[in-house]
Amino acid sequence: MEQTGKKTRKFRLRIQVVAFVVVEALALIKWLKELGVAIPLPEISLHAVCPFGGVVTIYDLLATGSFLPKLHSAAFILMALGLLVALLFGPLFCGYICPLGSYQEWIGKLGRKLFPRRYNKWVPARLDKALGYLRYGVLAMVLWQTAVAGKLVFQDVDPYYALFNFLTGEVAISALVVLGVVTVLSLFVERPWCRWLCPYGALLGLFNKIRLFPVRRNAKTCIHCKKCDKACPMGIEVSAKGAVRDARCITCHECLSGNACPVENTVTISGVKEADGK
Amino acid sequence: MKLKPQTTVWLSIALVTVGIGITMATGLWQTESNKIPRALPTPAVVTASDYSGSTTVQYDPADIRGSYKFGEVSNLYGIPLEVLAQAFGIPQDDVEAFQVKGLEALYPDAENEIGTASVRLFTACYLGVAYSPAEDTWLPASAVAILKQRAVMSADLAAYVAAHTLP
Repeated sequence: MEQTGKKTRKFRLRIQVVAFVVVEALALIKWLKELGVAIPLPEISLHAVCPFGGVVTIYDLLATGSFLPKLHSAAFILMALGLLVALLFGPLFCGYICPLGSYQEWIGKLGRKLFPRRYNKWVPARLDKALGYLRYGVLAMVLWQTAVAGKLVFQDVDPYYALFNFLTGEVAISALVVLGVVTVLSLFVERPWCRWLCPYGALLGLFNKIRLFPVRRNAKTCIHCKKCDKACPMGIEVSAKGAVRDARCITCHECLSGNACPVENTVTISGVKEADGK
Repeated sequence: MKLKPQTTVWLSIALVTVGIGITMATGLWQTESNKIPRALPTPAVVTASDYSGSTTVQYDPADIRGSYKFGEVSNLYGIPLEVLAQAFGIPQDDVEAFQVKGLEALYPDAENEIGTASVRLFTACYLGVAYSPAEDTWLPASAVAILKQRAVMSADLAAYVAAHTLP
């Protein structure tokens, strides 16, 4: 079981690193080309392949028939594919792909070493859950403001954009400040941006409610050790649920049998037709 | 049906890859602008020929993007390159390949930003089409002088431009 867990974690880390490197490479290629360096690779802006761009341009697309400045059909297609994946398996994008999520997670590893007992326990669970609703406010505000302004207003506070474009000089000070705050908070709390403020995570998280292959706990074989609860970076009480339908789940798979759960076939990913095991 | 986490990830990667592949094959996948702006809904004062020169279209100045080169603005909106160069103080030799968003770097010390919105405003005023400028859109004095001489912009836009001219 322990071997399986290590294998799964290593697999996730590899995917995270590849995603991070690809995004960083896209940003670097664009920056170097703008400086006049000849690179025999296509120049693709991060906006062009950002699935959240597809979300914020929906209004413009419906109202005017065109995408917001800096956005193209690729962002819209990636949004649609991302939502389809979320409908099947939940927000895998958050747990495996999002480079800002990975960045916070890696900073958090340092936080774990600095505060081994207090890490991710500074904020009371009820307050943490309440703060999680801020994400929906941010999502609504970003959609509204973008529709009114007709441009990418979120860019000015987007830590993702700041993380990968700070070399270009195109990043607003406000976005760098947000990135700095998120970085510092990541030393104390697991993925602070994802759990409290990320508008795209808010949207994808809703698919946990209806995903076809949720994380399920088999109550018959569960030994109530609560290791799944401790492993969950988002503070979800997995041990109290039959199926994890919590919108905060980022689908990192840390709670599964073979990872945190010590009992085989107890916390698993399984289709809707099976009993919840309650 | 139980699934391993790796299986869900590989299935997702396959789904996304196939989706991208299909949209690429069908020409739907685009990661850069096709450099064809929105057409104006009503007949405009000026018509511009498209790249092939075979059809005429009337484009909306509000749809000029920062990634456009001045050569493309000239082609699409029918404004001579030398006029654009003179309006925004770009050397004649560089103007064709100069990107609209590059204006921000050309006017780094300007108290009020000269950028893509400025080119949109100038284009609309030059063509004499109706336009609602974005908040606090400024123009260089050289651009305003050209517009005053041409005198096809509406009285409202003329007043706006007069109040938003860089010293």
